[in-house]
Formats: sequence, C-alpha cells, structure tokens
Amino acid sequence: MEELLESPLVEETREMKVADPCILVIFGASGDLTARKLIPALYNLARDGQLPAHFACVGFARRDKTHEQFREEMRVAVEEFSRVQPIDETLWHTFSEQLFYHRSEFDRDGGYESLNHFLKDLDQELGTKGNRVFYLSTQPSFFSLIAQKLNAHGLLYPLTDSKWSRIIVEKPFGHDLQSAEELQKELTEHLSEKQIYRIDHYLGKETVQNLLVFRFGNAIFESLWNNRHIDHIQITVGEEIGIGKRGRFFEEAGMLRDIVQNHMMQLLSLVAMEPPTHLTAKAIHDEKVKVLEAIRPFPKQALHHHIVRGQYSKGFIHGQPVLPYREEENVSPTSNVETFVAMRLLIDNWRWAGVPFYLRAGKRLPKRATEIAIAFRQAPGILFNLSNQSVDQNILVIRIQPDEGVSLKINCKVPGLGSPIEPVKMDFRYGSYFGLTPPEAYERLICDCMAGDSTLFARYDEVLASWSLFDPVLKDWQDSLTADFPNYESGTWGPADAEELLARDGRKWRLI
Amino acid sequence: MPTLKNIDVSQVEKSLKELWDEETEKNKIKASLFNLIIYTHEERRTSYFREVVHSILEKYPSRIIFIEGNESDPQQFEVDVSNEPIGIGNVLITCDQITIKCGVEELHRVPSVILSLIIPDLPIYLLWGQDPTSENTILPRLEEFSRRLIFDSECTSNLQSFSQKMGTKLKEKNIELIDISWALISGWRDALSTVFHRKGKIAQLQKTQRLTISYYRKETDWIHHPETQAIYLQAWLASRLGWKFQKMTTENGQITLDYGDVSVTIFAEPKGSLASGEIASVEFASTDDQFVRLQSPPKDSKVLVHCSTLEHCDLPYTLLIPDMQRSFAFLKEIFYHYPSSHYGEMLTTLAKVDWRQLNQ
Repeated sequence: MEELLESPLVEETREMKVADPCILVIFGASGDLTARKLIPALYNLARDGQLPAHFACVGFARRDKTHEQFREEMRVAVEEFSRVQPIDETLWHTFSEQLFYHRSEFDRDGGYESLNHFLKDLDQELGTKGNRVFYLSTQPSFFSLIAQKLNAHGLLYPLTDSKWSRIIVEKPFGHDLQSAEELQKELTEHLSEKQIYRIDHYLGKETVQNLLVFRFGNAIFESLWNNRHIDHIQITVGEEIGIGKRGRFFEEAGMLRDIVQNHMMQLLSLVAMEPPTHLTAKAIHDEKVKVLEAIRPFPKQALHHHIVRGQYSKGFIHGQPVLPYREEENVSPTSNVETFVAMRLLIDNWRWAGVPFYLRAGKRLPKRATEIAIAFRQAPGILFNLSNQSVDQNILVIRIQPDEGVSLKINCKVPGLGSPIEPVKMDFRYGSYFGLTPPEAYERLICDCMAGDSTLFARYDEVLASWSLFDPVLKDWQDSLTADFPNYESGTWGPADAEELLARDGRKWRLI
Repeated sequence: MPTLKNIDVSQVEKSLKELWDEETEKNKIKASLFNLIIYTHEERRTSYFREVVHSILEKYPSRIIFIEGNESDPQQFEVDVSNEPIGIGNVLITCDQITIKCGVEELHRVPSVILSLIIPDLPIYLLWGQDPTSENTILPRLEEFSRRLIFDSECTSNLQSFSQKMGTKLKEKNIELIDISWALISGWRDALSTVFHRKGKIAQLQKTQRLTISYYRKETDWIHHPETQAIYLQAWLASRLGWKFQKMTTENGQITLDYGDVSVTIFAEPKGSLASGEIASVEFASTDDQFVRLQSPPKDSKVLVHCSTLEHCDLPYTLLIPDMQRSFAFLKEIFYHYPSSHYGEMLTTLAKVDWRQLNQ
C-alpha cells in the first residue's frame, strides 16, 4: 500500500488492489475445482476489471487436449458455474485467449522443462514479466513433488528476485500434526513461507471478511464481546448433502479433517481474536494464532465429554429418502469415519475465560447453514424473569451462508394490557440491502494472491496450532472403534451425544 | 392468494422469494412473529383451521406450515407455497404459507422437512387439530423442538382418557400445553374471579349448593361436543373449591354431576346466535339462599351479573368479557398467555368422570 501511495495518480480514498502481470498455472486442471470455481472466478475477475492487464492462465494436467479444447471445456464450465449469467461473448473471446493448456504428468521432468519454456514464451508474448502463481489443485500427496519439480526447473524464484513466484495449496494441509510438519519442511526446502498461500475458501467469503468489520468497526459490539456479557457461542457448519462422489477422499479424511480443523477454526479465531494493531496480514495472523494457542487442550480422560462424533444413517432430506453413509459409493460398509463432529472448547484468556464455544459440523443435517451464534447472558431475574414466564436470551447471529446477513433476537412487550414478553428478530440481509451478487470467495483469494496479500490465507503457525489441538483426538478415535455407528438419522441435527454435550452445561443447541 | 403448487421441498424458500418478488405493491413487508405448524387429517377440521389461520395472521403475521394429512391417499406427498396477504392501512403485509399434503404412509417424512423450513430464533408453536394423546408418528418429534402445543379437546371422543393423558403430559413434557377450550373460557374465569373477589363473596362461593351452567348449542361441521366449555368451567370450579366427584347422570342432553354437597347441572340452550359451545349463563345457589347469576346475552360480549337473596336483589351490573371467537383476545390467550396451575388441577377433576356416557 505504501508503494502505491507514492504514485501521483493513486487517490488515497480509492481502494485498489493492484496485481502485477503474472501467469497462473493450475495443476490438476482437469479436476472439479478448476471447472466449478477457479476458471469462473477468473472470468468474473476479468469481468470486473480485476485481472492484471497482462495475464495468462495455464491448465496443467495429464489428459491430452489442445488449448482450444481446454477453452471450450472452460466455456461450458463458466456458462454453468459463473455467478453472473449469461456469458458475455466479447469478454469471453478476450478472456479465453488468455487460457492455455499444458499436458504432463506431475512427476515427469520433461513436463516441467517444457512448461518453463512455454511460460517464458508467454512472458514474451503477453508481457507477464516472469511472475508466477502455481495453484496446486491436486491431492495433497503431490504438493511436495510439484514444489520440488518446480524448483528444480527454475520455476520458483527466491524472494530476493525481481520477479516473484508463489504457490497456492488447498486444504487440508497435512492430515495430522506430523504430516503437516513434514509437508511444511518439504515445501520450505524449495520456497519460503511468504511464498506459500494456504487457501481456505471460507476466508474469501464476504460474510467472513465482514466479521472483522462487524467486530472492530462497531463500538457497540466490541464492548460486549467478552465473558462479562456473553454466555456462550455456537458455531455451526451444516450441510444437507452427503459425501456424494467424494467417498474415497472422505474415508481418508472424515469431518474433523475436512471441515473442523480448517474452516471452523478460522471462524473461531476471527470471532475470538483480539483487535489487530493494523490491518496487515502479519498483524491479523498474529492475533489469530494467539487465540488458537490459548484454546485449552482436550483432556485425555473423558474425552467424549468434550468432543463427540457421529455418522449418518438413512433418513430424509427435503422429504426424499437418502442412503446411510456406509452405503454411499466408495465407502466401506463397516466404516468408522465420522460425518459429524461436535465439541466444547474453552479459551483460556482474559476475554473468554469461562465462556464455552460449542462447535458442530455435519453432513446430512436438515439444512445447509453456516453461522455463528453469540448467546448473551440472561438478563437478571429481577423484573421480567418471573415464575410463570421466562425471558429469552439475546442472540446475535452472523449467517455466513446461505441467506447471508446478521440478526439479533431481542425481547419485546406484546401490545395490550398485562401482556407477556416475547422474542422478536431484527434482521439484516445482504441480498436485500446490497442487491448485487457479491464476489465468490475464490475471486477474492486469487486476486489477493496475485497482489501478494496473504491476509485471507492460513499461515503455517495457525495450521500448526489447529493440528496440535486435534491430533490427540484423531489418535484416540483411530484407536477406538465406535460400536454405535451410525448414530444419527439423516435429516436430524446430529446424535444424542451432541445434545448431551450442551445439556451437561444446562444449555441447548440453537435450532437453525 | 398467489400460490405455487407441488414444488420440490428444496425449492420452498426460493419459490417463496419468487412470489414475494412478483408482488408489485410498493409498500410491502414480509412479517413473521413466530412459526406456526398446524396439523389435521379430517377434512371438516381443515376448513375450520384455514379460517383460524387467517384470523391469526391478521393479528400475528407468522410463517405457517400447514400439514394436511390425507387418509384417502396414503402415499400423497405434495408441497404448495403461497404468500398470504394481509392489508393494514397502506401497507401490504405478507406471510409465508407452506402446505404439506401428506398421506398417512408418508408422515414420517414430515419432521425433517419441517426442520428445514422453520425460521430460526422465532418461537415454534404447534397447533394440533387432532387428539394429541393418540398420535405417535410425528407429534413426538415435532414436540421436541416446539415451544408450545396448542390443541382442542373437541377432537377427542373420550374426555376422561384425554384428561388423564394430558395431565401426565403436563407434568412430564418440557413444552407449554395450551388447550383451546380452556382458552375459550378464560373470559368467564376472569368474570367469576371478579364477581367473587371479596371476602364475603368468597365465603358465599364456598357455600355453593347448586351450580347451573347453560351453553349455546348450534350444529356445525367442526364442533361435535359443544358442551365441552361448560364441562371445563364446572371442573375448574370443582377443583378450586375442593368438590369431590361422586357420580354423573345424563337425561335428554342435560348433564347432572353429583359432588356430594354440591350438585352441578349443565344444559344446552338451543336458541342463540353466538358460536356453538359458548357459555350462556352460570348460576350459583348457596346453602344460605344467596344467588348469583351471570348471563351472557346473544350477540354481546357482556356478562350481566345478578346477585340476590330471598329478601332482596342487588343492583345488576355488567362485566365485559372479551369475544373469544378468534378475536385478538383469544389469539393472545393461546399464543402469549402462560397456562396456570389451575389447568392441571381441572384436568385431574375431569379425569375422574367417565364422559363417554355423553356419547351414548
């Protein structure tokens, strides 16, 4: 930002994230993510004028296809998945000329050699100045290999170089603490931490970014955001879908690795962190790590009193019958993998001492919903908490998806003589206020990576703190089989154990 | 009322939004104070509850989920959505209405559908149009997440068994139970409390020897037990005054209950233009020949109170009781009033009597 302000043409009141000319290489370009998210994101960035003027995207995969075939496939993908429809023909014509395809296996040296030549030719042709972003949309097991090959073939540069190179890796970063540490070690043999962008697409969502604005841009809330006023916090990531065709992957991962260790811990850290000193990546990451490191480790004894797991059985979603997890494609009929996790966390710092954080994530729940619910302390039972009625807690809900917005439940007097008090909702909805479709998460994240802003990416120590917390749980679950799986019906909010988790504290899960 | 029929459950919210967007009125508001789930499987009661819903929405805009059980087509499962418009001045208020038409063999699909359709953080009320003591398929599951179960004892043919089971439910369940028949007599209970609030009057009440209650009887499609409110009122008095039930007899539609020292008579007044089942008069005669008569004239929400002895009459006076036929007062009673312990005690008294004699 400081460099930008030196330019006489930059107005300080206009926020601009300027990305240098660069080439984005997508490894695993034949995969689902490229078609559903990455190319549509690039198209919309182009549409909004956010792509660098000199830009190219190269898909790297092992299937045999020409540039034209790749462009045609991506057109179909954009037509289906772009947030803005219909496709703009003029824009597509210009944009598609920046899409290219490079065929190779990930382990073939010749493929990287030819890629290097190809990229240098593009630099000449398009003026992309040698800057590179390598998006590793592959299985995590390929990350080290690809980084090693890129480095070996001069495709990665040291930080001191005039041109830059960065890699984006998808979550999960490792599958446990040890593998995360090993992966970090392997990657940092070839590039520095500052060149590694660990994507967590939740951080790219407008509503998640709004958390910082909401918390630190509104004085009214920050003064209440502590254990003097908050009774507990519930964070829910609910999905109505099952595992679909991801059986093979999910059998290796489970809910804890797939959603909780990354997405949910990011949400928790944004909700619980202290105000950063600046809005820089480092300052924000520092505060997030502090709060993650303050989470009390799960006790080894009576672990199930603090974290529970579940697996869905048959049931109904939207009135339609669905299969149990163990009958899904590529899932073992005796699978021990969890499709639901709920836990009770405590953060040992001055702000949150004594305030439980209840987290739950699950598949085949009644509806898709990601939200953070802040339950405030009950009003003192002097005036309105009488013997024949009780007054509801105030609840502030930040809806991450869908129906993005914020609502506040307050208590009001029902009109009339001698009438009781009932809860009502004050509701803000993004869609109603702002109308336009907000940018997709990947648009923001890719744009930020090209601009060198790592604020919305996960730093290594955040990832490490999260794995450190859950590693003992994963080991315990691996060693102990669950005799009662499946233990919740599809279309319900999870197993009875999850209810018990809160009932022991005299609380209940919020019905979403 | 704009309606979209037979839509996929996953498209309900989207369809409701479409209907909302199609509404061209500029001053439009969508409102919801609570979620109201209604269930019935008898056609006669469906029409009745549709009217009840409209009355509710006029006073308390809410999201309505109407489950119409279908006994003739066991495999039906259809979802319709509509925007129910309510006008107040220059503002058009609309409420979401979701109708699930469901055959008996598909009822088990309903709870998970409902879970995905409720508006969070707003109270969930369950208006059960059938006998809540005899339903086990979906009611227990819906009760788990509802704040209040509203039901009508009109739906049962065995008031004794019903009272026993509801009495148990009252003690066990963590859900508020609101009996419509109990709500309908709230005005009369308040009136009686007002009349007998002074020390002297309370003493007189405790010397009651005869109690006579009349009610208006008018044949309707949905009310088959118009005597219910009268039965409730006398049971309430019996439970509050410690009367001990001995026996009941019926003759030509007249009910006589013997409480030992107290005799209660309930009879129907065939004429009258008030709603069927409404109480027309309540008369107390005490052992020392003091009389109190409360009478509600037709087409009136007043109660005339006459107090007298054998020697003299007090000047009659009027008490106002709210019109409890789907009025604001009635709705406030069923949605926002908290039931007192008197209701449970009344049920205990009702449970001692075999009311099936009335069906013979």
